[in-house]
Amino acid sequence: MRSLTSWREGAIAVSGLNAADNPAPGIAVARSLREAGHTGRLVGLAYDAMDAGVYQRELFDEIYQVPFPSRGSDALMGQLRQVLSHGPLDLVLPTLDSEMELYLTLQDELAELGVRSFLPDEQGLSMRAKSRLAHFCRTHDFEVPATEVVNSLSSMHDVWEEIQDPTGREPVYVKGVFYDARKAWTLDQATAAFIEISAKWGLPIILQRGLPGFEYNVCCLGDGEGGLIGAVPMRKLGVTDKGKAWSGVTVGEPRLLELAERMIHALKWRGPCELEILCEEETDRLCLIEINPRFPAWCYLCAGAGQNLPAALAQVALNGHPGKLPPARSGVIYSRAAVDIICDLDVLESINVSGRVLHRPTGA
Amino acid sequence: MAANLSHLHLSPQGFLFDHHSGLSFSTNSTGAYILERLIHGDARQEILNSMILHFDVTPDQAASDLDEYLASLRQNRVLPREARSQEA
Repeated sequence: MRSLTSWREGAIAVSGLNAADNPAPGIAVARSLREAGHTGRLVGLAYDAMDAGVYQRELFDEIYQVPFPSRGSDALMGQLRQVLSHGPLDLVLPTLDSEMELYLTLQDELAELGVRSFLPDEQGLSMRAKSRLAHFCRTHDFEVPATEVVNSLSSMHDVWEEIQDPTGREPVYVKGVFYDARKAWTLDQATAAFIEISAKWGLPIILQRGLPGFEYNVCCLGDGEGGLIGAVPMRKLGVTDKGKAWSGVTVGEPRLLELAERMIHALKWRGPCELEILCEEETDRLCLIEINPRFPAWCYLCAGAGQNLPAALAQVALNGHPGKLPPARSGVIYSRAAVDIICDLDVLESINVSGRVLHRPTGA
Repeated sequence: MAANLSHLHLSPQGFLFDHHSGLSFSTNSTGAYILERLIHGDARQEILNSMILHFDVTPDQAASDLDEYLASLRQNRVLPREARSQEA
């Protein structure tokens, strides 16, 4: 490992540079790092030549195209070695759910090459998996909506009566094991969703009863020893037609921070995560819906609210624990905007021909 | 005892932000007057007495308007539901 006087000098690679209507978190993470004064080499790891981050020359020094996670850890490691052949890397910061297991597999090999990471352990990652979260919540005294995990259509039919909202007002969410969720009010709708989602993402399928209420999201950073380095709660103000946040506001509901502290402690979570929490309309109880094992795409709001969690991660990974972070300010708004980035053809040529774009020479 | 409403921020223009829920509302000057008293910690009767003094309104009309307004605040979760019996 290189010795750094400040994390800000470190060479950091960030993945997830897609920024379409359901953006990946990479650009928000990079902006947060730069805003905190990061001046070291910032490398973007893109999956597609048209990922918007490829063209963000004001953020990234270099861009490399990496193989999709489905190609496996050997293919990814091969490309990361290519990145390292152009200069050292001190930290790799993956931002996509589908990358986590790959980087866990590679973390020791990367460490031998001087590349640190700050990831949850396998057990923590597995316990928060969609198919296991409800069980984890029940055994650790966290509220969770009625949930069933099914491996076949017949088992879904068996539990349907039990899982559906008795009033018929709220849907059952039919969720894929990694991604995707559909609303179903009837068994026929659930069957169609089961077939479609399982064909795409495999089994099991998670059935979760919808509850009337509204959603909070909390961006958290755990130290891996049960401690919460920081947490920023947010309520969505505007969503896309896919239900993804397009604007939001930080909130100061103390129960959210208590829940985040308990959850990070229970999982001994290391690294970033996003808690999706439903506040039930009638009872006001907070139910955990999902835990995403990475920064959310809205994480730049954390920097805006005075608790820059991506920068805190880089600091804890490269320079040790940043200490107690100042509390995030509530009432800070964010709104996304679509921006047209203008570039010369050489960027597209370079990423397509060599899989690499050099926006600034290394060390410049 | 009135509920603690220190998480509510009311601007001079009548814009209310609930720092716990993230919800925001706009209200007219009478609504802002009532909210200001609630945030200050006044109970219903104190607010009612104050309204009768400050506005050209009969006691019955003031009580009716105040209760209707408090009900709408509860419905919109600005006032906690458990404080219903304390505030109203």
